[in-house]
Amino acid sequence: MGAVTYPNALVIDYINAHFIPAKLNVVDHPEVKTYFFTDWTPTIIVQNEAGREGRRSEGYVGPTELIAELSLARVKIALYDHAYEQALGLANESVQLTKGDALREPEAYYWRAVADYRASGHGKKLSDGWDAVIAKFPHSDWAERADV
Amino acid sequence: MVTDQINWRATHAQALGESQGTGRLVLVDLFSPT
Repeated sequence: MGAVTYPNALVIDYINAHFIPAKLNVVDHPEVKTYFFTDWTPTIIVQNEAGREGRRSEGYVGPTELIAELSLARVKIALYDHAYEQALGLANESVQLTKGDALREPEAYYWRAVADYRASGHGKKLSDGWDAVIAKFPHSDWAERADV
Repeated sequence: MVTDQINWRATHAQALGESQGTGRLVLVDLFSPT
């Protein structure tokens, strides 16, 4: 992460714009592994300002994938915080930032449908959005989750 | 805002404290030095 991902200009800009980041050395401070309940590095955890975890990623991710991960984290935390209009805006952004990412793009569409539903109160937004997940990414894990 | 490096905080408590009221989320990176 330190060699390729974090020196990337887009990553620097994205993190500094939207996050307060802390880098914790688990060798010097092994207690942080217990505190954050992980035994592997790199582990990336995103929390809201109350310290509630919204998303974590374990293992190396490149610059584009990290930004995609972080965009999804922002969506999930806005949903957990019931900030539904904000979540919808962030989900639209996440759909763009995950474009071409086979792992994360279907997830972005999935959560955008959820945000659209929560923001509008209309169940059709959810079913239409999830239908789109199934149509666009039929072999993805998220299509399976949307097929209810 | 574009800067030439990520402004990492040294502790989780510091990051959590600084995030209060800012609307910005806390990002924690647990790493092993190579």
